[in-house]
Amino acid sequence: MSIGSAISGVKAILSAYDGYERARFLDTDFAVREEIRRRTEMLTDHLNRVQDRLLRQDDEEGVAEVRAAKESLTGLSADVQFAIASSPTSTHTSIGRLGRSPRRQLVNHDLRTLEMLVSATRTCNDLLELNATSDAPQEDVQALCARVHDQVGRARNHLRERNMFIEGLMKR
Amino acid sequence: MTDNRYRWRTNPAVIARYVMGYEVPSGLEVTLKPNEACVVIEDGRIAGVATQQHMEVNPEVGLLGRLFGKNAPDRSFFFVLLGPHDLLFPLTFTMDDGEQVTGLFSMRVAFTRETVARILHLPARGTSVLTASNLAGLLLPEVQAQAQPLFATSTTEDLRAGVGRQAALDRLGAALRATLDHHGLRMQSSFVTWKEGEAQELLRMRRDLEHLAERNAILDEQQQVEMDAVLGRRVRELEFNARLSSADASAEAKAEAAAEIARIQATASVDRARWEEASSLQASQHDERRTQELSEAQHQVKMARLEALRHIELGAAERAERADKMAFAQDQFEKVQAAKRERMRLEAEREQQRLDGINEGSSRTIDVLARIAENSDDPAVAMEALRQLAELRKADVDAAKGAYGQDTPDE
Repeated sequence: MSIGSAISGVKAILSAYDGYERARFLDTDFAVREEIRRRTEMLTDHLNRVQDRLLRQDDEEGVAEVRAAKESLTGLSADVQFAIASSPTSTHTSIGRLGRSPRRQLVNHDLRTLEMLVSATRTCNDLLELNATSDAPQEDVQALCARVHDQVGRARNHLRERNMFIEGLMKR
Repeated sequence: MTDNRYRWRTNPAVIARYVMGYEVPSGLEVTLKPNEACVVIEDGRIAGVATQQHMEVNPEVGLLGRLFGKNAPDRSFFFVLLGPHDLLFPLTFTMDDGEQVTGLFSMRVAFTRETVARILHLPARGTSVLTASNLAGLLLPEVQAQAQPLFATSTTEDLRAGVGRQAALDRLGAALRATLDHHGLRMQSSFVTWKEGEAQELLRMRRDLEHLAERNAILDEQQQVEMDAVLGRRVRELEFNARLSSADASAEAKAEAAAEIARIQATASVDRARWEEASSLQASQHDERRTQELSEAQHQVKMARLEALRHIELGAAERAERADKMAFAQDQFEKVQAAKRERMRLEAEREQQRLDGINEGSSRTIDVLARIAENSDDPAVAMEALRQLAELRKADVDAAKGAYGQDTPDE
């Protein structure tokens, strides 16, 4: 995907996105990280409600799955909080530079990360709806909990590559 | 080069500090790290939450702004370490089987950028410096009340074996969520241990750190980081121990916990040595400072006493000199008064002699004039003699009246 269309794609999810233009590098980075953090908070809130209902239903397996998903979300939140922000104006010799090609990859990577989180949010919404119905089968609820957990885990793993793009270590 | 860095965290125990704008001199700068935030309050409103940036703490209005009549807003700042923070709660229950159990509940919580401003209600109640113990103190009654029915209903053996522990912790977390949310906190994880010795040790370590904060003892940054890290590692060790001892935990989780415990315990002896060194160094510094302050105070008391004695000595000589002068002046005054009295007495005597002389002369004149008046044949002469006699008598009486006027010595 070209950089222009990738930026437009990200802008559809995150309007403050500026595609790491030199003067807007830090703003773009901060916007992406804050958006990811905001989504993790939202997902955690959703999962808290699901967990409360599962506790009332004494569904220990479901509670354990939700707990694991929340731990992954806490980890994801900490990952973006302490992620490498880099700085295009830094003169430090050990700090990598973001070239044009990695920049395009980075924008595509951001788009993919945000899409994964959007997908996890949708699954979580489905989980909430299912969990709200009194006659929902326990297995279905647990399966959806596990799916949310998996999607969050995948998004987290995917996000870990971002630091390598920013540091200019990955060019693919 | 002057240091214009603003340092809001002077102790590892401090997690938040509320500062009024007038307390921050202009020109000071602060660097907020990823886990630090600053809530900026302008004219009573939350203007924003800054994080991950270098900024001037309290910028003034620029020249152009002043020209356009812009005034500096009334600012205050709330610096917060976002976390995670380990809050420790001592738990003591009398179980249903009558046995008393003591344990420790640890909760890992964190603030977020969105929720951090909610904790502003604490500075409003007078707590401008916030430590983890302040937060734990706020939550302790509720934690104990919520934990009692969840843990005290099982048997002591089940409690120690960890049967149903995770479910109870999940329920406790859910029960505490609203209160944590009220304080702007989000719980990340929790564990409970019923080993009394470990619980006491952890609480003691937390107390050591809190005492440093209370005494506002400024250790060097290296020691701060070390003490914080050691406490964190000890909390993690207990957390993994609790997981390992949980009957509900899977074999995989137990293996992971065992590996983590082994890793932490590899550094445990070094950690303990560091902690003891840091706390004993702090204690010895405190003792040394206290001894120094005592000796300085004693020295000042001695100096004050000597100064008072010096004043007394200097004053005695001065007073004696003044008394001598007073006595001399009194003596001189008495002499002057005596001389004056003598002079007046002599003057009075002289005046009396003069008056006596005048009286005698006047009596003779009167006798002569009386004889003339009696013996004169010429009535005109007799009348003239009588007229002169009357005038002379009148003059004598007037003179006698003025001869003894008030002429007493000075008092």
